Amino acid sequence: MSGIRGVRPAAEWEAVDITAWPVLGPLFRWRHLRSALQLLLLLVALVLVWDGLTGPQLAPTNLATTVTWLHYRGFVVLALLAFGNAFCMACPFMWPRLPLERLVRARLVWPRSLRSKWAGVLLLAAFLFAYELFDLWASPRWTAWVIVAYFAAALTVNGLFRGAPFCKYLCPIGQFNFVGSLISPLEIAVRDHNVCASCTTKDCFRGREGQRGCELWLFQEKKYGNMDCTFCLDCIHACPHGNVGIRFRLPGSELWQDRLRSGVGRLWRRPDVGALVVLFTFGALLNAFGMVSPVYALEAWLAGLLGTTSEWPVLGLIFVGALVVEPAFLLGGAAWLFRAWSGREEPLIAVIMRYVYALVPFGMGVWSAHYLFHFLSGFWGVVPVVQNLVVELTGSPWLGMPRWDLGPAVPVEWLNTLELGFIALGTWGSLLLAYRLARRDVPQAPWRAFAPWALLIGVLALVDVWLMLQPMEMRGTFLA
Amino acid sequence: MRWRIGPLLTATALFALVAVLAVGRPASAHSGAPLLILAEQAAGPYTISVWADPDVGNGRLFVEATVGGAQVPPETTVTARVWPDDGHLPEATYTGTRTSSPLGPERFTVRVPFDAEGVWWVQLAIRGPAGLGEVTFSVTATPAESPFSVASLLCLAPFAAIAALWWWGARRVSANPRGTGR
Repeated sequence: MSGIRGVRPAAEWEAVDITAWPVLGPLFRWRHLRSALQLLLLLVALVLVWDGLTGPQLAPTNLATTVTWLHYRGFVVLALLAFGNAFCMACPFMWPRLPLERLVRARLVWPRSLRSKWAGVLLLAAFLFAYELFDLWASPRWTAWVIVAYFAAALTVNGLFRGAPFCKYLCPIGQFNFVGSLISPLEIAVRDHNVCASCTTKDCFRGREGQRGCELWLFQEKKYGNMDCTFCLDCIHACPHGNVGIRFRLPGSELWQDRLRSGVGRLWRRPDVGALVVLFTFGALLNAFGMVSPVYALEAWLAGLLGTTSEWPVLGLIFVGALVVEPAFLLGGAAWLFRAWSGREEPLIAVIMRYVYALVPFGMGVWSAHYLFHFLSGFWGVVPVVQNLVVELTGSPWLGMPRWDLGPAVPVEWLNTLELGFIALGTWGSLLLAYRLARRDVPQAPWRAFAPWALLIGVLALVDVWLMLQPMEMRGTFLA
Repeated sequence: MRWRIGPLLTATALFALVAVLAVGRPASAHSGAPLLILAEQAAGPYTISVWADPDVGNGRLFVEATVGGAQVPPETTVTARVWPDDGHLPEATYTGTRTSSPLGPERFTVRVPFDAEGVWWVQLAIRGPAGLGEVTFSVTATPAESPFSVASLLCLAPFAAIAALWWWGARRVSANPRGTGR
């Protein structure tokens, strides 16, 4: 076991570095691990695009829709919960840049005015909106085009501009992963701060011959937490002292204090990151709401009210309500109660920008419950899709006739309970975080400071349990 | 009297959770979206896909049919002849209703009140100006209410363990303010 030296760890688990373990250690220190993972996912992406554009257009029979919307999203949340930002590590969109950058060097500098999460927030909201408006889950062709557009955007931005501005500022999936990884159990961190203090080259940041440094501008010595870390492992490979590892930490513990973070600054002073967390949390509820029957009644009512038969203004109104009005009302109300009950005098916005991070575990719980429900209930659905593909390609059932009856990976009666478990765990994590913040703010009466946030988290949890119990609509099964 | 907000909050939260669980009931017992039974299968001149919500008492079959890639003509009808595999009931025939949704293509919904769990056979017939198409398949009817079996509650054990660990870890870290790393 290799320890984190230089600063005393809070607990013994923080001294555990998995890059010092047998098998896993050499694997993470293998310089081509990321490229290998990216290449693997690139091949998968190419198959998805090909099947999406040329295969059957019935969503459950096409790899593009089943793998993207059932399996990929399930693996993403599983990885965030059990490991860290593994899917940015294995991001296939970045792999084509490797051969390209030998031909064209990125020379432009990303504009200073765009160095925030605001564009990422808008793009993530736009992605969620497009997902509902165009029924992406039900359209193999649209899903394939989304993948193609992603490759084009990542290649263009990161190919033209120095660093990786697409990853840091724009990528909607990346922003989702950054927020989710705030409660991951692992973090890339230096092993011994004394080594960093005596280091003169700072290769982890600058890079060295044949090895990139951190493209997200996170300087390991001053890096704190997982925000903006893509787990690309470049810093681990670049450090000439072998002083960067992957260590355990208490999930969410980085959120109850506001340390200065390299490449990020202070989270509590970053309204753009706060907005991203709001989108992450309330977007999770909205995404789940989009799946159940009551949303159609609401859409019909709003359409009548607006006198329109077009879906986009109705959906736009629901999005504004759920992502702007509702959070402003609930967070503003909780912050107002916090001030009233705790007796602290400070602007409401300052309170919100501190406590909004307590919602991250709840948001992750909702996303996990939702995505893993689909992942587990449709896990084996990929088997008949592949069987069908083989029949279509070869004319013979080499892998057997498609077994369309295959589906759940666990007994179906477990699914609701598992969903409830994820929601409850996320709620619990948010309550823990809120209490920690309350105790920090008002040590003499923490319960009074905690109560408004506990109320808010409790209300959100009940709303999510209610959503979970609603009948699911036919989405995801019918061709759009 | 001193206001004890902690126990009050806990009691309120527990009451609210129990109330939601007691009042809310899943409408789809098999948990989730309808199951795909047939995918783009030929039935006479039609290409059909069938999904099933095979709940006892409130079963539904969803049929999407096309002719040469286009929607079927308006006069087209869908009927389902249904009988149990164990023969405990005579066969019965149900007619589908055609619905259009702003969120998807037109489809036929056939309501089938399965009276018991188990395997049921369905002979689906599509009739219209394009001709007759028939296809036969089986579905397994599932209980109408299944959300929380006692056994499934065991699934909560790992979550409870993680929650306890999380709480213990938070106490541990808070006891060491110099901690959480660097």
